[in-house]
Amino acid sequence: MAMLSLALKSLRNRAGSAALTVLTIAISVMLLIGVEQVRTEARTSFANTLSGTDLIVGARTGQTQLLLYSVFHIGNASNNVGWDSYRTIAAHPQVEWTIPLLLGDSHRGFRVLGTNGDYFRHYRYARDRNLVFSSGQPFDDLFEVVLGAQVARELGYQLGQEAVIAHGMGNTSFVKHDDKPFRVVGILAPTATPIDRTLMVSPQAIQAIHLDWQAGVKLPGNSVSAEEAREQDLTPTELTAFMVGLKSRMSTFSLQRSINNYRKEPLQAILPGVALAELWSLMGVAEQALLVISVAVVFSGLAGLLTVLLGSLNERRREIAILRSLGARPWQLLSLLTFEAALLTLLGSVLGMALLYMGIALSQPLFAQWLGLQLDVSLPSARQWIFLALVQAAGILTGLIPGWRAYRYSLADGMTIRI
Amino acid sequence: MQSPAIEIDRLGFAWRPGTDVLNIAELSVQRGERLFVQGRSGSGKSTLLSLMGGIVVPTRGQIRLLGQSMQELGAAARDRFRADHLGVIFQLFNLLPYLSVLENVLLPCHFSSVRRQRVLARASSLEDEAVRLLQRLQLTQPELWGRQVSQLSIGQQQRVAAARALMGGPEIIIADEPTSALDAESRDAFVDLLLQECAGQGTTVLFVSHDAALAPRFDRTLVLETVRLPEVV
Repeated sequence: MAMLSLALKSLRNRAGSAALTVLTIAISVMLLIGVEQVRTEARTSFANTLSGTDLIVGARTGQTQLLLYSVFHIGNASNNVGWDSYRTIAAHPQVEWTIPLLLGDSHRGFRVLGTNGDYFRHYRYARDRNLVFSSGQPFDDLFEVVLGAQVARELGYQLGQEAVIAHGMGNTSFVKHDDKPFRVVGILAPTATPIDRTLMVSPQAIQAIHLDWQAGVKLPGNSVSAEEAREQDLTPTELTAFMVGLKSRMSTFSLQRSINNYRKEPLQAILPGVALAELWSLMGVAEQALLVISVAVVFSGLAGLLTVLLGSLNERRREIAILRSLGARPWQLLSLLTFEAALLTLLGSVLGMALLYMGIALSQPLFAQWLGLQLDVSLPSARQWIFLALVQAAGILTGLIPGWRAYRYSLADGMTIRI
Repeated sequence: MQSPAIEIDRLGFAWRPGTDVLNIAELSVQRGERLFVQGRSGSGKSTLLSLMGGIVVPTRGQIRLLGQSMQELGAAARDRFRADHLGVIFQLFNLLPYLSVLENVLLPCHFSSVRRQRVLARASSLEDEAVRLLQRLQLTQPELWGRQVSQLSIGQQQRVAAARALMGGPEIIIADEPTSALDAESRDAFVDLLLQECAGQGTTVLFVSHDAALAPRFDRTLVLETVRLPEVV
């Protein structure tokens, strides 16, 4: 079509300023879609913290609180679960596996988790991914420890090194179990979950380091050496919580009910998926704030587009008067300018997506390592397509403003060319 | 007998009520006639051109082109009428800088199928006719035709503009101060070439200028006076 080739040739004539406009839009689109991608990824990575676990069981408390301390290692349990109750439920015919969780100790600011080999066999995150060792193997001996990826990186621990575990949380705890150091036997690959910031030992090890402790205080003159500890019965009396995998998901609700009605002590079983969703909804405000920022960025990009189009309009008054004198209709002038805006927006979007994918490809390892976010170069999601469509629509609407002004000019200028 | 090219009857125009910028009691221009319109700035020249082009309609009175009353047409029909029957040459900056010489000359045929068909009725292609016109206006070197118009001299640009106005044989050519940027010699050469070609096609010419020296080359002169009349009902 003639108008189309006119628009393209006119645009090529102003290639410099057009390129700048495209770049402005590209950067806004890149930020919008990028922020949206990070937002979605943060959400997925959050929901992916735990998978394959059917129930989490702990002392009776809120379901969010139980999730926070058992999975995210945030806060502390107000009550523990008796080891006997744990053994009873683990022996239930519908239960396929259980993972005990003993929390409460720390090592230089990182949480220590007492658990058994089932943790490395059955714990799953993301979409059914098992824990993988980047080096070493699960603990076998009483005083052996496995490190999360971030712990190993930040503390600079290698296999075979020794670590002293402190009681309670905090980096500078005064009371340290320094008579019973642990040897590093395994380091996990990064998972982008709280596991990366955790040290794992056996439940017996947790019990052992507390042998000469009572009510949170080290008993003077009653110290038990590491060798003596090995001699004793180290079965813990209680644990913080445990995870349950069932033989059939069909029995989830009936088992949940019977745990909640457990007679010997007040217990609570929660569905991790439901609790995760509830927890995420609490963080929705931050998510919305991100979205608002990216929308504001797009607005500034479109304002730039409008400025360039209106700015070029003055020098194009001449062009418009010539076209009018040749018989161009007002709607043709309108479509000329609107088409230009639409084209610039489209090019901007395409360039923006290209820049974004390039950026993701380059920064992927950094995101994974430092923020625990697994960003992928993938086709835009349905939501991102909607954003792109909205940007395009806004670009076209923006083009209508100079288009309308061009039409007004053409009426006011009549058949003379005013510069 | 054919209707006159231009007929004006008690024409008046005001951008705002009470401030008339143009008053012409009567004017009739025959087909093929060459009319010189002389007037200083502010005499309503631009307004007359806008009325002829059908961009604005008269406040009072009638303007007919080729027997067609401009008021009776809607805005879109006036645009089409202008595209089909009018060729316009401006003072300066006449051409689209991002098109080549040849593309500029071909432009009117984009907006008017009437002019396109008129060209094809007597030439084998649009390009052939454009080349013929350029040659008639003494732009003979073929390497000129593909060039960007910004690389041409002002005199050459004005001749390209004339070729574009003539393309597709419109019945009326309107020239708005086309020679004011040219020196006397190129001015005379340009007007002679334009009038020659128009005579060949039987085109009516309405040539607006402040330069009275050109008047003798035309059949008739209309002098526009600066109008300063209070509105009379």
